[in-house]
Amino acid sequence: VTRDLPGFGPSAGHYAVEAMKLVRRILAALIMTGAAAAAIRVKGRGGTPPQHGGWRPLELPERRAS
Amino acid sequence: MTIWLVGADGIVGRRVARGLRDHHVTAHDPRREPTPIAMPGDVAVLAHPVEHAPLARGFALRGASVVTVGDDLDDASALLELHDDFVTAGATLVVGAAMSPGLSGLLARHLADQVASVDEIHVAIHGTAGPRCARTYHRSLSRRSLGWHDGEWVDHLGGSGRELCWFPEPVGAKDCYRADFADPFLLHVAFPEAGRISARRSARRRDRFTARLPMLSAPHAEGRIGAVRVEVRGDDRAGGRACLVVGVAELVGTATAATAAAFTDAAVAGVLPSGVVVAGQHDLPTADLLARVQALGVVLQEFTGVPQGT
Repeated sequence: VTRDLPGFGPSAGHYAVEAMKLVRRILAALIMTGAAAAAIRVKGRGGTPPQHGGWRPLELPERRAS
Repeated sequence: MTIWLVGADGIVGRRVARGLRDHHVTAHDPRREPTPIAMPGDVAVLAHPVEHAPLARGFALRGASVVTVGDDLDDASALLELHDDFVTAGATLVVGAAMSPGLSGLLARHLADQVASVDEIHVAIHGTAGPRCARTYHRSLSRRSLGWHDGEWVDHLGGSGRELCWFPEPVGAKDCYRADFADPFLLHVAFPEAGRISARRSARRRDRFTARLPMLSAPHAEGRIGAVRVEVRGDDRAGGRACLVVGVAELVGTATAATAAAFTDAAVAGVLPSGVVVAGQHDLPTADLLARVQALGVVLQEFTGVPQGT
């Protein structure tokens, strides 16, 4: 770790440390986003596809005499 | 006897007129003529996009029956308050004669008649009719959505509550979410004994993320094939559990127009009670209404497998 010397501007090492912090934060954000998305996908109720059966035309009961 | 058709230039209005071609249908535009010149015994079909309650009150004052085509919750609530006006006039007000609400209530009653008691009613819809319907759908995913749960209204967030619902082909499986529309509210009026009532509509991820924004592109003139699916759970007459599912896959505008035309036919024939009427009420000729919907080209289907309760 480098320290800034009094009376001088930030050193090149300072910029490197800040850049690495930024990279770590981006990585952490991406990992957390991925983890949240995975949790939602796993926790979400997707339903179970019907294993048998299907749709057929509906037969209505006898109509009332009008 | 005249049938007044408001919103005759829209997709639903044009198809309602086609379904009622055996009657004398007259288009009415409230923007040009706010006060209708209806007579007692006439029937008005309100298929225009703005709120229906003020115009329905005007028709009630003239003794005409009214069939409303809409799914707005606030408007449906205002229409229910017109019950006494229509009873006094000896006329009928059908609230929500669309695909959902409307056809969904008729299908729910058809299923409810097959079980000993109704515990739950769950409705899911897919698709939209015209551009105004698409805009309403877009907004509905960002608003509060009502659900009846164990004897009380629960205020859910629109766009929540994902559930994979299986519609008749060619629509198939769609992820459906809670949304702001009147179906649970009106189903509760028709089925006060049901402990749980929910309604969902299909949506893509993009629909949910952009629901709070203006529509990114202009809606299509008409949506593609839509669908409605109604599931009723309860006890069967042998004491076991029953879970029955029926559905429709059809253009939303066509299914809506067929439902509105069926209710209009019934109002003309005088077989509906006076006052407010909601699809699914036990005292309606539900089988006749569904048969009329079928006769107008809408294929009703039932699911023959074993639904998986969630």
